[in-house]
Amino acid sequence: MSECQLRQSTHPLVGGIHPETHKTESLKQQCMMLPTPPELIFPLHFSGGGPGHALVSVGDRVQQGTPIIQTESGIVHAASRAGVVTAISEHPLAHPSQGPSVCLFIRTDSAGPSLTLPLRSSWTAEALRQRAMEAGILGLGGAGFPSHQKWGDTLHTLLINGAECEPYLTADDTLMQQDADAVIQGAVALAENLNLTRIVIGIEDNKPDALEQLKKAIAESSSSYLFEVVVVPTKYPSGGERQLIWLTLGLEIGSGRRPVDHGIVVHNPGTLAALAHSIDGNPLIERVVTVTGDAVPAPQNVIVPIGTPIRHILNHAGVDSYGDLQLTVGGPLMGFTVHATEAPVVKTTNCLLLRAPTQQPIEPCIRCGLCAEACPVQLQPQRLFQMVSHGALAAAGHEGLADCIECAACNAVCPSHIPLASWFQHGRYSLQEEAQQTAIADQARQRFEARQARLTRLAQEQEARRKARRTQNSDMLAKVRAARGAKSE
Amino acid sequence: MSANWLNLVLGALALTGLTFAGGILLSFAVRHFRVDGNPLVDSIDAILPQTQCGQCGHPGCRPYAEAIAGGELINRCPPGGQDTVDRLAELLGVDSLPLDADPETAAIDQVALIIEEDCIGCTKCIQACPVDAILGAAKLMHTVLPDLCTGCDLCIAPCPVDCIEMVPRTMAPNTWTPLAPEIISSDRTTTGVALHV
Repeated sequence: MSECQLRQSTHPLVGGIHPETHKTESLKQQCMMLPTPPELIFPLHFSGGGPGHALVSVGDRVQQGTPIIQTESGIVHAASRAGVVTAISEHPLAHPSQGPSVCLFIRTDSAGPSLTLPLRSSWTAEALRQRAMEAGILGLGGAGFPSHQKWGDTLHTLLINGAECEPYLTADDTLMQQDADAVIQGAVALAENLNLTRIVIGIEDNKPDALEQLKKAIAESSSSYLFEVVVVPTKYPSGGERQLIWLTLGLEIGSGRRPVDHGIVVHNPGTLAALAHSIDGNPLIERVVTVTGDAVPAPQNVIVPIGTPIRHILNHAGVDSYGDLQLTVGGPLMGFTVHATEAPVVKTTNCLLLRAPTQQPIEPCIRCGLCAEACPVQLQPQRLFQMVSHGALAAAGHEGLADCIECAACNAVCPSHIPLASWFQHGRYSLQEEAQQTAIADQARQRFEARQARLTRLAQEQEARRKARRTQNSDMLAKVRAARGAKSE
Repeated sequence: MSANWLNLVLGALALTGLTFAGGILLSFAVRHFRVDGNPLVDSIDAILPQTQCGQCGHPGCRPYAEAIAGGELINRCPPGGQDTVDRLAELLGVDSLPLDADPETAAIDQVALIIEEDCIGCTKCIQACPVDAILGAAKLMHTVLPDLCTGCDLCIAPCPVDCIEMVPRTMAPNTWTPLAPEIISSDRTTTGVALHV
């Protein structure tokens, strides 16, 4: 008998924009399960959780749920359907780098029994972390951060990020409508085992159906938690982690700090639903993907087995030719263009957006300042752009480049169509790379100096020993001479 | 009359006192605010790539930094590449020079690799490594710790069985840095570094 406390957000978002939402198109059709594609593709290094290696070899039979990729962070990715491993070779990716990178190919066949994770009667925080790793759970909102790494011992608040503020995206909305029970179950399981005291749900006011389902699920839940549901006004980017914390909790996360430093863990509803399913023994092998855009005849949400080639999903939505269309993975603001439709869906792929390209000519910056008004982090994008585009990365770092969340609100308002956020992303990565290089050089300097000091010390010690030996020897010789002198006298 | 004399004496005494006080302050400042070493050497050393390879003709990066502070040419560092020369020129306020090395081989990020089945365990490479990046003991196989190796190739020459090779440094397979977007021509500077902000 959980309780639900509904309120409106009283902390307005700084900056932000009101783009056309285009959300209704993909919500007209019922969300269906995609038919199993003939081939599934799993990138070894880009599936989420860091670089990985294959746990199966070419020719092996896999069941649905068989672990196939072990990553550096401990996360294990499972086969999403039964089949035979046909190859491990390079393939294009749905990633801003475009790949190609090493992928594992599975030719699917008739489904056999699926492999499940062992059930447990009681759970602890450690068992939950372990389960998240073996079920391959990572942040499904887009960044793909390994969930178990967020679950420290000092947390007190769980914030469920159901804002989904980016235009066109309705995957989280659909999931909350269809699987609200699992979202609430996952939240309760996490809160109980990590001893959290507060569960807050942040949701934009353009999702009344999802809100209704959540309220129903909360009422049916048997836990004793009070769910605070905070409805936030529709404005981009209210779904940014820091932005939603401000909107719902009225707390500002300072520069260089993370929500977990303040005891807050933020999760996408999909991540929590996946956690609930993993407790029931099912690893994360499917996700909801929005297929939409002006060039898609039947915009919809589909439940897709991870590893499905994008082309297969687009075909399902009625797309048969691509021509000059532009495929964006993710939303129109934070997404990235993908050139190869044979690239597979990974766990962070939330939206496939197919549109006619809207490339407008880039003009010089006219210093209008609209980007500074739109920036939700209160940066000065026009100044940062000048700095980054001229290579003055250190100066941009001092101006807060690292605090940019790359929401691209500045791009959207720029009358000169300057891709500001792409510049900032480039600048941020370059700064990080530079810092790494400096750290490596510092280490080499320290090791060189330590070695020089050691060699000098050893030489000095040797010299001291030699001197001591010489004195000792000359003393002995002097004694011998003295004895001989005494004899001859 | 006597008041004038008194003023004169008092003035002289006051000035003497002030001089002494100033002298004491200065001697205190000399002792307590002295900068050890040449700060310019540290700034130069921070720009050098710390490979400690000795290709500049000095036994390490810091000795070369000291030589540059003493007037040596700034283009003697092949691992740093042209970028390092440009940054040194900017720091020292001198004109940049073309790098004194084959541009094909300069500034390649490489590491040493010991072909382990050929290693006889002579420890000669261990002694040559300027950053202690090689592990091993006499008559036992040696190995290079790639994270610590600076790619200076000083271990190649001493190896009696020629079992060390330089290979490109392998990056984590998911490393990726986004390229700079295209820029309009009017905003591109000709020098690339100077910026007025």
